Amino acid sequence: MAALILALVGTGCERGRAPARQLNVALALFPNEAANYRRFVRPFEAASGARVNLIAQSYGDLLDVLRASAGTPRGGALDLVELDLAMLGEARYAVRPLDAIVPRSARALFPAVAWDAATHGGRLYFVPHRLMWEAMIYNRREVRRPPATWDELARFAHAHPGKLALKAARYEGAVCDVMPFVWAAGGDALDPRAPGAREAFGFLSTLAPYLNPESAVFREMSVLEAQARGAVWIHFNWPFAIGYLASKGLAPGEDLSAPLPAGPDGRRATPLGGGYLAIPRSASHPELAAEFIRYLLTAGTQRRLSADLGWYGSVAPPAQSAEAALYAGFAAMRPYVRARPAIRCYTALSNRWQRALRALLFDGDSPSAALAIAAAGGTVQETFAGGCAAR
Amino acid sequence: MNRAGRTMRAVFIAVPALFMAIFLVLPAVSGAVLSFDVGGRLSLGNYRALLGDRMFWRALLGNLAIPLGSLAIEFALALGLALYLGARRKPPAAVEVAAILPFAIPEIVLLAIARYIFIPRGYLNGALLAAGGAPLGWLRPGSALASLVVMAVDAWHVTPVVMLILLAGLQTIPPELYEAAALDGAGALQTFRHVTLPLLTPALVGALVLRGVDALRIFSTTLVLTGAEGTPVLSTYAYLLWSDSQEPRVAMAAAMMLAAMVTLMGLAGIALGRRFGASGVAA
Repeated sequence: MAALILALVGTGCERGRAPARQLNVALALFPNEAANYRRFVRPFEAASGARVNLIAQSYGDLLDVLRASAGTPRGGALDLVELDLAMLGEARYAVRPLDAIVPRSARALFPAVAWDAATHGGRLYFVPHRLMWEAMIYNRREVRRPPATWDELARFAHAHPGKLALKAARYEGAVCDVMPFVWAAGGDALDPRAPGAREAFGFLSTLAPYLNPESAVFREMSVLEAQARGAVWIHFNWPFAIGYLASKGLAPGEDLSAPLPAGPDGRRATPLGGGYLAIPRSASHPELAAEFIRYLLTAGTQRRLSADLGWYGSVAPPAQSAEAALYAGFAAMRPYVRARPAIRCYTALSNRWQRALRALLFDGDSPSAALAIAAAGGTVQETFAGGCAAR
Repeated sequence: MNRAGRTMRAVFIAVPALFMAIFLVLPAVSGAVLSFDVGGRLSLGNYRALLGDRMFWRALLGNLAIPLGSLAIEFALALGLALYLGARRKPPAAVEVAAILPFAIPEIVLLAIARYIFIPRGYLNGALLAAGGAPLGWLRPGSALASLVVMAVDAWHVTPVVMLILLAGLQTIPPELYEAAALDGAGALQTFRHVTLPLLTPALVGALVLRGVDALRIFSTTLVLTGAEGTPVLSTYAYLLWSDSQEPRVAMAAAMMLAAMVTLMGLAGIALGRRFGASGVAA
């Protein structure tokens, strides 16, 4: 947060001496990504004559800034903000509609669900910036043929106790790990009492005794490190996991990606994740921000995002390339991407699923008892009618 | 006292009082109010939510067991070291350095070292393998072994503080008492029981109160070594609720429970100090 304030003060100081148009873009970038992104925006700066000030911050801090500026009509420090997909429901009230900015042709760049997640009441409030989804990460030396169905996954877990892990990262509320199973069984994130959820939890309970103990930590990196040292042979994760393993010299030699296993009816599903861009209501330069969004939403720019930054949400890695081999599982899951609910109480909902999963996998609860925790009295609409604070 | 002295005294009282009011009392009151806030109304809902969460009970149990274990280890070690160092006019420098070093190292560095030692492919398992043994899951989430490792590492870090307090206590014992005990034919164990221990009690109680309160607030050791859910304690549980679950009000309720525990421990410590501090022996 302090860095954000300093950055804003810095850009404010620069504003005093540089008469050029300034666009303050706050993104959730790692330092190495920020350098690449800086290079990526240069053509836009050259074409528009504007200077793009990049402010790298965490999604949580960006949402806090957006919340704080929600009541300000104009004159805010940020012109464009990146938010995690899970935050869209909450952030919608603080950003401007984008229908007029996004051309119809741009819709083809991303899967339809990506646009649906950014739309509310028929209006578009966000544009996809970098999209990702989960796939199976497996040890190719130990797992000759990755499990393609639930049955095969169960057989693998029984045959190799401790070699399967669920990361179930708590800040995602475990929704990203639970939902592929619930959706594949025909269930719904918003209704834990539906038959699909019961079937999914029934299946997960059969895996519970065989899960690697690192799963109980609910930390993405704990499970990924276990995969890196060969203690875990299969887990489900985002594309960054493959990048991490590749950076350790383990992918593609040791680890590769494969599609998530199909459910009982052959149905597959994977959760959509990633960052979306929005123009805050308080933006000082909304027109310039719109110009930047239009620049982003062209096929050529998306190709550069894919090639320069490795963001494959819109454009997959070129066939036969090293990246194509690494990310094959992710590319195969593209048709099965589903959006998580973009509701205002998303965090509260995901916390419930997380508690339910913990009760099922590590406290020995039955599937119905665990799902009762997630349902907590009814559907999401019923449960959160009194506000998101309700647990 | 003249007028200037009175003014100075008032300033010296007012400045810290103001500092404490702004940076301690106000946040504490604000936190307490937040812990009762449920959708803008004051209620016990956040505390009820805590009591209904199994992780809270696990964290509460961890918050009692881990500090207790840690205190037992560090007091045993510190007393042994203090007696060893106190008995020698010129103790070996290596022993002195080894006894003090853990506290001189910044906590995060020490914990990172400990993590390298205990992780699955860490130094300890490497040594076990080299010796022909089998590697162990030292930090396996939820295991008793992980709790023991957390206790040991926590004790390792703070043993020097306890040792220094006890060493200072030992040095206040008049040597004539040891000479008299020796003349009376008392052995080492009898001397320890009837001379050292009673006269060391004030220092032991002081160290116990100081470390007891501090041990209850254990946070980074569990977080770095096993993750918040690996060996949950109240502070990491509250942190998890605040950061990952984004439930600041319930997190504050958990923090208030911890604050109540620490306050009770502090009050008990003050009472204990009054009882043992003056005479050194229970009345």
